[in-house]
Amino acid sequence: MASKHSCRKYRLMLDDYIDGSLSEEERQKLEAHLSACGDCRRELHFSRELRSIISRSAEAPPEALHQSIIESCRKERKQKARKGLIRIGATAAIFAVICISSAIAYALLPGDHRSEDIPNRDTAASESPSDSSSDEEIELLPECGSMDSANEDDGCIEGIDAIPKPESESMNAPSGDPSDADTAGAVDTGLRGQTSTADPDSTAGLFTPQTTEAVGSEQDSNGSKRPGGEEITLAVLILSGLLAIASFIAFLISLSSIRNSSSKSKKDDR
Amino acid sequence: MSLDELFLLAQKGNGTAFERIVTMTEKQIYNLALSITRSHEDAEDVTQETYLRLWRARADFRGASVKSYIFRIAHNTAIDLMRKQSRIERTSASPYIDEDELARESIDPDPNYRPDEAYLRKLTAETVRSCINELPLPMRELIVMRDMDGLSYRDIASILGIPEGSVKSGIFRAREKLRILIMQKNIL
Repeated sequence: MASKHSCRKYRLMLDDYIDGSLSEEERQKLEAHLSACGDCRRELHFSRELRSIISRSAEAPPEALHQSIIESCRKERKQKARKGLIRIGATAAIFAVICISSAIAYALLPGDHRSEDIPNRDTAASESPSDSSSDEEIELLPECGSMDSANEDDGCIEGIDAIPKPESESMNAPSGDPSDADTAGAVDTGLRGQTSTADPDSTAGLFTPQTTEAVGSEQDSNGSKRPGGEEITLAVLILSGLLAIASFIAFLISLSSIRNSSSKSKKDDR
Repeated sequence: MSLDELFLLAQKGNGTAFERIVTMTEKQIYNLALSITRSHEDAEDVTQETYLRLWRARADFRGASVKSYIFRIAHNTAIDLMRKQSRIERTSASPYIDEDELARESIDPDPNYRPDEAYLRKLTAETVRSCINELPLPMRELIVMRDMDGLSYRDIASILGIPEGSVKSGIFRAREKLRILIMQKNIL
Protein backbone atom coordinates (compact mmCIF):
# COMPACT_ATOMS: atom_id res chain seq x y z
CA MET A 1 0.00 0.00 0.00
CA ALA A 2 1.27 3.47 -0.89
CA SER A 3 2.22 5.85 1.89
CA LYS A 4 0.39 9.12 2.64
CA HIS A 5 3.42 11.10 1.54
CA SER A 6 3.67 9.44 -1.85
CA CYS A 7 -0.12 9.80 -2.37
CA ARG A 8 0.15 13.53 -1.71
CA LYS A 9 2.97 13.79 -4.21
CA TYR A 10 1.06 11.89 -6.90
CA ARG A 11 -2.25 13.69 -6.34
CA LEU A 12 -0.51 16.95 -7.13
CA MET A 13 0.31 15.41 -10.50
CA LEU A 14 -3.25 14.26 -11.31
CA ASP A 15 -4.37 17.52 -12.94
CA ASP A 16 -1.35 17.59 -15.20
CA TYR A 17 -1.95 13.93 -15.98
CA ILE A 18 -5.53 14.70 -17.06
CA ASP A 19 -4.23 17.65 -19.09
CA GLY A 20 -1.56 15.42 -20.65
CA SER A 21 1.16 17.88 -19.61
CA LEU A 22 3.35 15.46 -17.61
CA SER A 23 6.74 14.39 -18.87
CA GLU A 24 7.10 10.80 -20.05
CA GLU A 25 9.04 9.87 -16.93
CA GLU A 26 6.51 11.48 -14.55
CA ARG A 27 3.60 9.86 -16.39
CA GLN A 28 5.13 6.38 -16.10
CA LYS A 29 5.80 6.86 -12.37
CA LEU A 30 2.24 8.07 -11.75
CA GLU A 31 0.70 5.23 -13.73
CA ALA A 32 2.80 2.74 -11.74
CA HIS A 33 1.50 4.33 -8.51
CA LEU A 34 -2.10 4.37 -9.71
CA SER A 35 -1.97 0.66 -10.52
CA ALA A 36 -0.99 0.01 -6.89
CA CYS A 37 -3.20 2.64 -5.09
CA GLY A 38 -7.01 2.36 -5.17
CA ASP A 39 -7.55 5.73 -3.37
CA CYS A 40 -5.54 7.63 -5.94
CA ARG A 41 -7.36 5.84 -8.78
CA ARG A 42 -10.69 6.91 -7.28
CA GLU A 43 -9.31 10.41 -6.88
CA LEU A 44 -8.33 10.47 -10.54
CA HIS A 45 -11.76 9.23 -11.58
CA PHE A 46 -13.46 11.80 -9.37
CA SER A 47 -11.29 14.63 -10.71
CA ARG A 48 -12.15 13.67 -14.28
CA GLU A 49 -15.85 13.47 -13.53
CA LEU A 50 -15.85 16.69 -11.60
CA ARG A 51 -14.18 18.53 -14.42
CA SER A 52 -16.64 17.12 -16.87
CA ILE A 53 -19.59 18.18 -14.67
CA ILE A 54 -18.11 21.64 -14.11
CA SER A 55 -17.66 22.17 -17.83
CA ARG A 56 -21.26 21.06 -18.38
CA SER A 57 -22.49 23.33 -15.62
CA ALA A 58 -21.63 26.47 -17.57
CA GLU A 59 -24.74 28.59 -17.92
CA ALA A 60 -25.85 29.90 -21.27
CA PRO A 61 -26.22 33.68 -21.26
CA PRO A 62 -29.71 35.07 -21.93
CA GLU A 63 -30.47 35.37 -25.65
CA ALA A 64 -31.21 39.07 -25.30
CA LEU A 65 -27.70 39.64 -24.01
CA HIS A 66 -26.08 38.76 -27.32
CA GLN A 67 -28.30 41.21 -29.20
CA SER A 68 -27.71 43.85 -26.57
CA ILE A 69 -23.91 43.49 -26.85
CA ILE A 70 -24.04 43.71 -30.64
CA GLU A 71 -26.31 46.75 -30.49
CA SER A 72 -24.17 48.58 -27.95
CA CYS A 73 -21.04 47.93 -30.02
CA ARG A 74 -22.81 49.19 -33.16
CA LYS A 75 -23.91 52.33 -31.33
CA GLU A 76 -20.36 52.84 -30.16
CA ARG A 77 -19.10 52.57 -33.74
CA LYS A 78 -21.75 55.02 -34.98
CA GLN A 79 -20.99 57.49 -32.21
CA LYS A 80 -17.33 57.39 -33.06
CA ALA A 81 -18.07 57.96 -36.75
CA ARG A 82 -20.41 60.81 -35.80
CA LYS A 83 -17.77 62.43 -33.64
CA GLY A 84 -15.37 62.23 -36.59
CA LEU A 85 -17.90 63.91 -38.87
CA ILE A 86 -18.56 66.65 -36.32
CA ARG A 87 -14.82 67.26 -36.09
CA ILE A 88 -14.50 67.47 -39.90
CA GLY A 89 -17.53 69.78 -40.11
CA ALA A 90 -16.25 72.08 -37.37
CA THR A 91 -12.79 72.25 -38.98
CA ALA A 92 -14.33 72.99 -42.39
CA ALA A 93 -16.54 75.73 -40.89
CA ILE A 94 -13.61 77.35 -39.09
CA PHE A 95 -11.51 77.15 -42.25
CA ALA A 96 -14.30 78.72 -44.31
CA VAL A 97 -14.65 81.58 -41.83
CA ILE A 98 -10.88 82.15 -41.83
CA CYS A 99 -10.78 82.14 -45.65
CA ILE A 100 -13.70 84.53 -46.01
CA SER A 101 -12.53 86.92 -43.32
CA SER A 102 -8.95 87.00 -44.59
CA ALA A 103 -10.18 87.57 -48.15
CA ILE A 104 -12.41 90.43 -46.97
CA ALA A 105 -9.57 91.91 -44.92
CA TYR A 106 -7.24 91.69 -47.90
CA ALA A 107 -9.77 93.27 -50.22
CA LEU A 108 -10.46 96.13 -47.80
CA LEU A 109 -6.80 96.99 -47.36
CA PRO A 110 -5.68 100.11 -49.25
CA GLY A 111 -3.75 99.33 -52.41
CA ASP A 112 -0.53 100.97 -51.09
CA HIS A 113 -0.51 98.69 -48.03
CA ARG A 114 -1.16 95.58 -50.05
CA SER A 115 1.79 96.11 -52.33
CA GLU A 116 4.05 98.07 -50.02
CA ASP A 117 6.35 95.19 -49.48
CA ILE A 118 7.00 94.85 -53.19
CA PRO A 119 8.60 98.27 -53.73
CA ASN A 120 10.45 97.86 -50.45
CA ARG A 121 12.02 94.73 -51.75
CA ASP A 122 12.85 96.49 -54.99
CA THR A 123 14.33 99.41 -53.18
CA ALA A 124 16.40 97.11 -51.08
CA ALA A 125 17.48 95.29 -54.16
CA SER A 126 18.43 98.50 -55.94
CA GLU A 127 20.33 99.70 -52.92
CA SER A 128 22.18 96.59 -52.04
CA PRO A 129 24.21 95.97 -55.18
CA SER A 130 26.39 99.03 -54.66
CA ASP A 131 26.72 101.49 -51.89
CA SER A 132 27.81 104.12 -54.37
CA SER A 133 24.25 104.50 -55.70
CA SER A 134 22.94 105.36 -52.24
CA ASP A 135 25.87 107.70 -51.81
CA GLU A 136 24.87 109.35 -55.01
CA GLU A 137 21.33 109.77 -53.75
CA ILE A 138 22.60 111.44 -50.61
CA GLU A 139 24.71 113.69 -52.72
CA LEU A 140 21.67 114.47 -54.81
CA LEU A 141 20.10 116.10 -51.78
CA PRO A 142 22.72 118.49 -50.63
CA GLU A 143 20.19 120.86 -49.12
CA CYS A 144 18.23 118.27 -47.22
CA GLY A 145 20.77 117.40 -44.58
CA SER A 146 19.49 114.74 -42.25
CA MET A 147 16.24 112.81 -42.60
CA ASP A 148 14.84 114.65 -39.62
CA SER A 149 15.30 117.92 -41.31
CA ALA A 150 13.80 116.44 -44.44
CA ASN A 151 10.62 115.72 -42.51
CA GLU A 152 10.46 119.33 -41.49
CA ASP A 153 11.34 120.65 -44.89
CA ASP A 154 8.75 120.35 -47.62
CA GLY A 155 11.27 120.41 -50.36
CA CYS A 156 13.24 117.58 -48.89
CA ILE A 157 10.26 115.30 -48.72
CA GLU A 158 9.58 115.98 -52.32
CA GLY A 159 13.24 115.44 -52.95
CA ILE A 160 12.95 111.95 -51.48
CA ASP A 161 9.97 111.23 -53.68
CA ALA A 162 11.96 112.34 -56.61
CA ILE A 163 15.10 110.40 -55.68
CA PRO A 164 14.61 107.53 -58.05
CA LYS A 165 16.05 107.83 -61.04
CA PRO A 166 16.49 108.33 -64.59
CA GLU A 167 12.77 108.00 -65.58
CA SER A 168 11.53 110.59 -63.14
CA GLU A 169 14.49 112.71 -63.94
CA SER A 170 13.59 112.67 -67.57
CA MET A 171 10.00 113.49 -66.73
CA ASN A 172 10.81 116.32 -64.40
CA ALA A 173 13.60 117.62 -66.56
CA PRO A 174 12.89 116.54 -70.07
CA SER A 175 15.53 118.77 -71.53
CA GLY A 176 18.20 117.92 -68.96
CA ASP A 177 21.70 116.95 -69.66
CA PRO A 178 22.20 113.18 -69.87
CA SER A 179 25.23 113.31 -67.56
CA ASP A 180 24.66 112.20 -63.96
CA ALA A 181 25.70 115.37 -62.29
CA ASP A 182 23.63 117.52 -64.57
CA THR A 183 20.64 115.24 -64.27
CA ALA A 184 20.91 115.37 -60.54
CA GLY A 185 21.02 119.08 -60.75
CA ALA A 186 18.05 119.06 -63.03
CA VAL A 187 16.05 116.92 -60.65
CA ASP A 188 17.05 119.08 -57.78
CA THR A 189 16.25 122.23 -59.56
CA GLY A 190 13.06 120.90 -61.01
CA LEU A 191 11.78 119.68 -57.70
CA ARG A 192 12.72 122.73 -55.87
CA GLY A 193 11.08 124.66 -58.59
CA GLN A 194 7.89 122.74 -58.03
CA THR A 195 8.09 123.19 -54.31
CA SER A 196 8.65 126.83 -54.67
CA THR A 197 5.35 127.12 -56.51
CA ALA A 198 3.55 125.71 -53.52
CA ASP A 199 2.71 127.60 -50.37
CA PRO A 200 5.74 127.03 -48.14
CA ASP A 201 3.71 127.55 -44.93
CA SER A 202 1.03 125.07 -45.79
CA THR A 203 1.43 121.31 -45.30
CA ALA A 204 -0.97 120.93 -48.18
CA GLY A 205 1.94 121.99 -50.27
CA LEU A 206 3.42 118.61 -49.65
CA PHE A 207 0.70 117.11 -51.75
CA THR A 208 0.55 119.56 -54.56
CA PRO A 209 -0.67 118.25 -57.90
CA GLN A 210 2.88 118.04 -59.02
CA THR A 211 3.82 115.86 -56.09
CA THR A 212 0.89 113.56 -56.67
CA GLU A 213 1.90 113.41 -60.24
CA ALA A 214 5.36 112.43 -59.19
CA VAL A 215 3.95 109.55 -57.10
CA GLY A 216 1.69 108.54 -59.91
CA SER A 217 4.50 108.62 -62.33
CA GLU A 218 6.53 106.43 -59.97
CA GLN A 219 3.76 103.85 -59.92
CA ASP A 220 3.53 103.93 -63.63
CA SER A 221 7.22 103.85 -64.18
CA ASN A 222 7.61 100.85 -61.85
CA GLY A 223 5.25 98.87 -63.96
CA SER A 224 6.77 95.60 -62.84
CA LYS A 225 5.98 96.38 -59.17
CA ARG A 226 2.48 97.71 -58.83
CA PRO A 227 0.32 96.24 -61.58
CA GLY A 228 0.95 92.77 -60.02
CA GLY A 229 -0.79 93.96 -56.85
CA GLU A 230 -4.27 93.94 -58.35
CA GLU A 231 -3.74 90.59 -59.99
CA ILE A 232 -2.56 89.10 -56.71
CA THR A 233 -5.58 90.58 -54.92
CA LEU A 234 -7.89 89.02 -57.48
CA ALA A 235 -6.10 85.66 -57.29
CA VAL A 236 -6.22 85.68 -53.48
CA LEU A 237 -9.91 86.57 -53.55
CA ILE A 238 -10.71 83.79 -56.02
CA LEU A 239 -8.61 81.24 -54.14
CA SER A 240 -10.12 82.22 -50.79
CA GLY A 241 -13.58 82.07 -52.28
CA LEU A 242 -12.97 78.59 -53.70
CA LEU A 243 -11.53 77.34 -50.43
CA ALA A 244 -14.44 78.84 -48.52
CA ILE A 245 -16.93 77.18 -50.87
CA ALA A 246 -15.13 73.82 -50.58
CA SER A 247 -15.05 74.11 -46.79
CA PHE A 248 -18.69 75.07 -46.69
CA ILE A 249 -19.63 72.07 -48.87
CA ALA A 250 -17.60 69.77 -46.56
CA PHE A 251 -19.41 71.28 -43.61
CA LEU A 252 -22.83 70.71 -45.23
CA ILE A 253 -21.94 67.11 -46.16
CA SER A 254 -20.81 66.31 -42.62
CA LEU A 255 -23.92 68.01 -41.23
CA SER A 256 -26.24 65.94 -43.43
CA SER A 257 -24.31 62.74 -42.58
CA ILE A 258 -24.71 63.50 -38.88
CA ARG A 259 -28.45 64.08 -39.39
CA ASN A 260 -28.79 60.83 -41.35
CA SER A 261 -26.93 58.79 -38.75
CA SER A 262 -28.92 60.28 -35.88
CA SER A 263 -32.25 59.65 -37.64
CA LYS A 264 -31.14 56.07 -38.40
CA SER A 265 -30.14 55.46 -34.78
CA LYS A 266 -33.52 56.89 -33.68
CA LYS A 267 -35.27 54.43 -36.01
CA ASP A 268 -33.09 51.62 -34.62
CA ASP A 269 -34.01 52.62 -31.08
CA ARG A 270 -37.71 52.46 -31.97
CA MET B 1 -11.30 31.38 -38.70
CA SER B 2 -9.47 31.54 -35.37
CA LEU B 3 -10.07 34.08 -32.63
CA ASP B 4 -6.71 35.74 -33.34
CA GLU B 5 -7.48 36.08 -37.06
CA LEU B 6 -10.92 37.48 -36.34
CA PHE B 7 -9.44 39.96 -33.90
CA LEU B 8 -6.98 41.17 -36.53
CA LEU B 9 -9.95 41.96 -38.78
CA ALA B 10 -11.80 43.62 -35.90
CA GLN B 11 -8.76 45.80 -35.25
CA LYS B 12 -9.16 47.13 -38.79
CA GLY B 13 -12.74 48.07 -37.97
CA ASN B 14 -14.53 44.95 -39.26
CA GLY B 15 -17.74 44.84 -37.25
CA THR B 16 -18.78 41.38 -38.51
CA ALA B 17 -15.51 39.84 -37.30
CA PHE B 18 -16.07 41.48 -33.93
CA GLU B 19 -19.60 40.06 -33.73
CA ARG B 20 -18.19 36.59 -34.38
CA ILE B 21 -15.71 37.07 -31.55
CA VAL B 22 -18.63 37.94 -29.28
CA THR B 23 -20.50 34.81 -30.38
CA MET B 24 -17.46 32.61 -29.78
CA THR B 25 -16.59 33.87 -26.32
CA GLU B 26 -19.67 35.38 -24.68
CA LYS B 27 -20.70 32.20 -22.83
CA GLN B 28 -17.28 31.88 -21.20
CA ILE B 29 -17.14 35.56 -20.33
CA TYR B 30 -20.66 35.47 -18.93
CA ASN B 31 -19.80 32.52 -16.69
CA LEU B 32 -16.61 34.15 -15.49
CA ALA B 33 -18.58 37.29 -14.66
CA LEU B 34 -21.22 35.17 -12.95
CA SER B 35 -18.58 33.39 -10.87
CA ILE B 36 -17.21 36.72 -9.66
CA THR B 37 -20.44 38.68 -9.14
CA ARG B 38 -22.78 35.74 -8.30
CA SER B 39 -25.59 37.80 -9.82
CA HIS B 40 -27.12 37.22 -13.24
CA GLU B 41 -27.93 40.88 -13.67
CA ASP B 42 -24.41 42.00 -12.82
CA ALA B 43 -22.94 39.25 -15.00
CA GLU B 44 -24.93 40.61 -17.96
CA ASP B 45 -23.70 44.13 -17.30
CA VAL B 46 -20.12 42.95 -16.96
CA THR B 47 -20.31 40.93 -20.18
CA GLN B 48 -21.72 43.86 -22.12
CA GLU B 49 -19.19 46.28 -20.67
CA THR B 50 -16.37 43.82 -21.43
CA TYR B 51 -17.13 43.81 -25.15
CA LEU B 52 -17.54 47.57 -25.24
CA ARG B 53 -14.16 47.97 -23.59
CA LEU B 54 -12.70 45.39 -25.97
CA TRP B 55 -14.02 47.32 -28.96
CA ARG B 56 -12.64 50.61 -27.65
CA ALA B 57 -9.26 49.14 -26.74
CA ARG B 58 -8.88 46.79 -29.71
CA ALA B 59 -6.14 48.93 -31.23
CA ASP B 60 -4.10 48.79 -28.00
CA PHE B 61 -3.80 44.99 -28.04
CA ARG B 62 -0.17 43.92 -28.33
CA GLY B 63 -0.24 40.61 -26.45
CA ALA B 64 0.03 37.03 -27.64
CA SER B 65 -3.39 35.65 -26.71
CA VAL B 66 -6.62 37.39 -27.66
CA LYS B 67 -8.55 35.03 -25.39
CA SER B 68 -6.46 36.04 -22.36
CA TYR B 69 -6.94 39.69 -23.31
CA ILE B 70 -10.74 39.36 -23.36
CA PHE B 71 -10.74 37.45 -20.08
CA ARG B 72 -8.48 40.03 -18.45
CA ILE B 73 -10.88 42.80 -19.48
CA ALA B 74 -13.80 40.79 -18.10
CA HIS B 75 -11.97 40.08 -14.83
CA ASN B 76 -11.08 43.77 -14.36
CA THR B 77 -14.58 44.91 -15.28
CA ALA B 78 -16.17 42.51 -12.79
CA ILE B 79 -13.73 43.46 -10.02
CA ASP B 80 -14.39 47.17 -10.74
CA LEU B 81 -18.12 46.56 -10.39
CA MET B 82 -17.65 44.63 -7.15
CA ARG B 83 -15.52 47.43 -5.75
CA LYS B 84 -18.15 49.98 -6.74
CA GLN B 85 -20.76 47.96 -4.93
CA SER B 86 -18.35 47.35 -2.01
CA ARG B 87 -18.87 43.64 -2.45
CA ILE B 88 -15.25 42.54 -2.62
CA GLU B 89 -14.86 39.70 -0.21
CA ARG B 90 -12.17 39.67 2.42
CA THR B 91 -10.84 36.14 2.28
CA SER B 92 -8.70 35.05 5.21
CA ALA B 93 -6.51 32.81 3.11
CA SER B 94 -5.58 33.46 -0.48
CA PRO B 95 -5.71 30.45 -2.76
CA TYR B 96 -2.64 31.75 -4.55
CA ILE B 97 0.10 29.99 -2.63
CA ASP B 98 3.41 28.47 -3.54
CA GLU B 99 3.60 24.90 -4.73
CA ASP B 100 6.13 24.19 -1.99
CA GLU B 101 3.68 25.38 0.62
CA LEU B 102 1.02 23.24 -0.99
CA ALA B 103 3.23 20.17 -0.90
CA ARG B 104 3.74 20.66 2.84
CA GLU B 105 -0.01 20.71 3.47
CA SER B 106 -1.38 17.31 4.31
CA ILE B 107 -4.31 16.09 2.29
CA ASP B 108 -6.44 14.28 4.75
CA PRO B 109 -7.55 10.98 3.21
CA ASP B 110 -10.73 10.94 5.29
CA PRO B 111 -12.87 8.02 4.06
CA ASN B 112 -16.00 10.19 4.51
CA TYR B 113 -14.82 12.38 1.69
CA ARG B 114 -14.08 9.60 -0.76
CA PRO B 115 -16.43 9.77 -3.71
CA ASP B 116 -18.16 6.69 -5.02
CA GLU B 117 -19.79 5.89 -8.34
CA ALA B 118 -23.33 6.23 -7.04
CA TYR B 119 -22.61 9.69 -5.75
CA LEU B 120 -21.02 10.81 -8.96
CA ARG B 121 -24.13 9.70 -10.84
CA LYS B 122 -26.32 11.81 -8.56
CA LEU B 123 -24.13 14.82 -8.89
CA THR B 124 -25.85 17.38 -11.07
CA ALA B 125 -24.58 20.48 -12.77
CA GLU B 126 -26.82 22.55 -10.53
CA THR B 127 -25.27 21.11 -7.36
CA VAL B 128 -21.80 21.79 -8.70
CA ARG B 129 -22.76 25.35 -9.58
CA SER B 130 -24.14 26.06 -6.14
CA CYS B 131 -20.99 24.56 -4.57
CA ILE B 132 -18.77 26.71 -6.78
CA ASN B 133 -20.75 29.74 -5.64
CA GLU B 134 -19.90 28.91 -2.06
CA LEU B 135 -16.17 29.07 -2.72
CA PRO B 136 -14.33 32.30 -1.92
CA LEU B 137 -13.89 34.67 -4.89
CA PRO B 138 -10.40 33.79 -6.14
CA MET B 139 -11.17 30.06 -5.93
CA ARG B 140 -14.45 30.44 -7.83
CA GLU B 141 -12.70 32.34 -10.56
CA LEU B 142 -9.87 29.81 -10.84
CA ILE B 143 -12.22 26.84 -11.06
CA VAL B 144 -14.35 28.53 -13.70
CA MET B 145 -11.40 29.65 -15.81
CA ARG B 146 -9.69 26.29 -15.65
CA ASP B 147 -12.45 23.68 -15.55
CA MET B 148 -15.35 25.55 -17.11
CA ASP B 149 -13.65 27.71 -19.73
CA GLY B 150 -10.67 25.41 -20.33
CA LEU B 151 -7.96 28.07 -20.07
CA SER B 152 -4.34 27.00 -19.69
CA TYR B 153 -2.35 27.75 -16.53
CA ARG B 154 -0.28 30.20 -18.51
CA ASP B 155 -3.36 32.08 -19.74
CA ILE B 156 -4.82 32.24 -16.23
CA ALA B 157 -1.50 33.48 -14.86
CA SER B 158 -1.44 36.21 -17.50
CA ILE B 159 -5.06 37.21 -16.81
CA LEU B 160 -4.63 37.45 -13.05
CA GLY B 161 -1.04 38.71 -13.15
CA ILE B 162 0.32 36.01 -10.85
CA PRO B 163 2.96 33.28 -11.33
CA GLU B 164 1.95 30.08 -13.08
CA GLY B 165 2.94 28.05 -10.00
CA SER B 166 0.54 30.06 -7.87
CA VAL B 167 -2.23 29.37 -10.37
CA LYS B 168 -1.56 25.63 -10.18
CA SER B 169 -1.54 25.56 -6.41
CA GLY B 170 -4.60 27.82 -6.24
CA ILE B 171 -6.56 25.54 -8.56
CA PHE B 172 -5.49 22.50 -6.57
CA ARG B 173 -6.75 24.07 -3.33
CA ALA B 174 -9.95 25.24 -4.99
CA ARG B 175 -10.69 21.73 -6.24
CA GLU B 176 -10.04 20.27 -2.82
CA LYS B 177 -12.37 22.79 -1.24
CA LEU B 178 -15.00 22.12 -3.89
CA ARG B 179 -14.71 18.39 -3.34
CA ILE B 180 -15.29 18.89 0.39
CA LEU B 181 -18.31 21.12 -0.25
CA ILE B 182 -19.80 18.58 -2.63
CA MET B 183 -19.30 15.75 -0.09
CA GLN B 184 -20.87 17.84 2.66
CA LYS B 185 -23.94 18.41 0.50
CA ASN B 186 -24.16 14.67 -0.10
CA ILE B 187 -24.01 13.97 3.63
CA LEU B 188 -26.78 16.50 4.34
